[in-house]
Amino acid sequence: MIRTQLAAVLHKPSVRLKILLITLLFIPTLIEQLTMIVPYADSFGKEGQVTVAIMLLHVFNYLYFYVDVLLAGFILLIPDIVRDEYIDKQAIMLSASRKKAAGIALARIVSFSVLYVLWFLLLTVMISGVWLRNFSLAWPHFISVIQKQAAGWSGWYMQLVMLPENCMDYPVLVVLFLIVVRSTLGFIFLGMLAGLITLLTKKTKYGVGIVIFLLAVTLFLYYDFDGGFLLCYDASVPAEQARVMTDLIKATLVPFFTFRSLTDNFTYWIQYGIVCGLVLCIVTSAGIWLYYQKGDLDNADQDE
Amino acid sequence: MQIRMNNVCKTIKGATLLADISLTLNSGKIYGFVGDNGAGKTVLFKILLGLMRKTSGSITIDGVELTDLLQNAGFIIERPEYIPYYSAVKNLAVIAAYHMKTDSARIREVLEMFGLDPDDKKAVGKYSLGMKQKLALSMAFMENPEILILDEPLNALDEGTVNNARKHILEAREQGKLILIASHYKEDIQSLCDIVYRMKGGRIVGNIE
Repeated sequence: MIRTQLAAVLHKPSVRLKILLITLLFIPTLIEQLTMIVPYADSFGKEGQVTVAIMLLHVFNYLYFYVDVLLAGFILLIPDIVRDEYIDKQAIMLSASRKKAAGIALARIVSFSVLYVLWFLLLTVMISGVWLRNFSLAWPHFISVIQKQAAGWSGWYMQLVMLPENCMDYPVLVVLFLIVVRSTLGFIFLGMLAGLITLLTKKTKYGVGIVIFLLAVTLFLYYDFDGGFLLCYDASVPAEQARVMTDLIKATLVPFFTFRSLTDNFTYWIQYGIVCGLVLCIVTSAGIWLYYQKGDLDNADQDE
Repeated sequence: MQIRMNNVCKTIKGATLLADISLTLNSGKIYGFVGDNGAGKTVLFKILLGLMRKTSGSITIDGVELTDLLQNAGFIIERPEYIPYYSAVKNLAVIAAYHMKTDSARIREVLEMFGLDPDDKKAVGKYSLGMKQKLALSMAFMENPEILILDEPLNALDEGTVNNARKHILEAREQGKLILIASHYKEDIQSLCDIVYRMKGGRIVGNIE
């Protein structure tokens, strides 16, 4: 059933156009990153070899990339992900029970989010591999050089390639897997939240609006709030103020998509992102599930 | 099959959409519902289908309380939903994939029944209003359901198709199906229904047998 629904939505001309546009935006942005990271890595001398692994970790860990491409693209697709106006009523009735209908609605959001992440994962591997003429998934040495520099820095430390402290203690594929899981959970959460708000308000625009609002809050706290941007670089900022800033940022979308600084602890932040992502996915999916059991499913979208 | 509704009410944000609806509906009969826009016909149908939750009262199907979606029902409610970039056959195939009890022969049969060409590859989005309505009827009848709930089923159809659709609705009654129809057209109601309920302000204000 879910395969049928997915196929129907993926055949939708507007969905194809949106995916094409996001892809067309993603490719030059990725190439731009490659053209910056390759000479940056070269500056580390013979240690500086960029690999596909580092590009994957960079794409799935760089807030600008998320905001400008991946999150923007996801927001465009939210109306198609949270509900399919063409077959919803029939799908609900044919599900035979509200529980099954809820399951299909949740599965649609989860599978779209997974497909979305996989598509950009595949694109990154292909384009980076071809560009670098190297499909290696090994840890590049220059990352350990950056991390040694970061370790000697008392404040928050940022570099072009942002991989946090102690991530190299783990095999690259484990780190990559955990980062992709974290991102996928982040997208699933956003999709489910948009879905829940759409169900409650019967307006898709509010579902989209809540995601844009969360993104705006994230960016505000990350870059603007009380000189937060400067805090990232300024080691003289009092520890208490820095801690408050970190706590505020942890309450935004940031831990679901990126790390804060090279001096962040990988184990701690990835755990935080994944556990928070899981909890929020469970809470929002429970909300959708409950709505399907108790609410009206007449689904008239009152946007029109 | 018997559907019993006892004192069914539906309110949303203090507005009463249905008030004290009590009905007994039996298989092998066609029940008509008439009334102005906002009289409560569509809400009544949605509650019967289980798409909307009633605020109070009870609905039983053969003595068993309806707590979930209504099983084995074909329906047309409000604006029918299609996948506009698929052909009619592909649209029905998507719907058929849910229960896996309709084969391609039945899909072709039901399309022909309502005057659509199953070999027509044209996307449904390019269909006229009348053709979309024929497809909606095909969807409702496709799985040969025990209950048919049809909101304005003959809208936008030409005279020949109206007569054909009426014939199939009457045949369904002969097969013992329970059929509910809402229509603004007196002729549809008079020619099809065994009992007609008049609705106003969410209440049943009269009936004609």
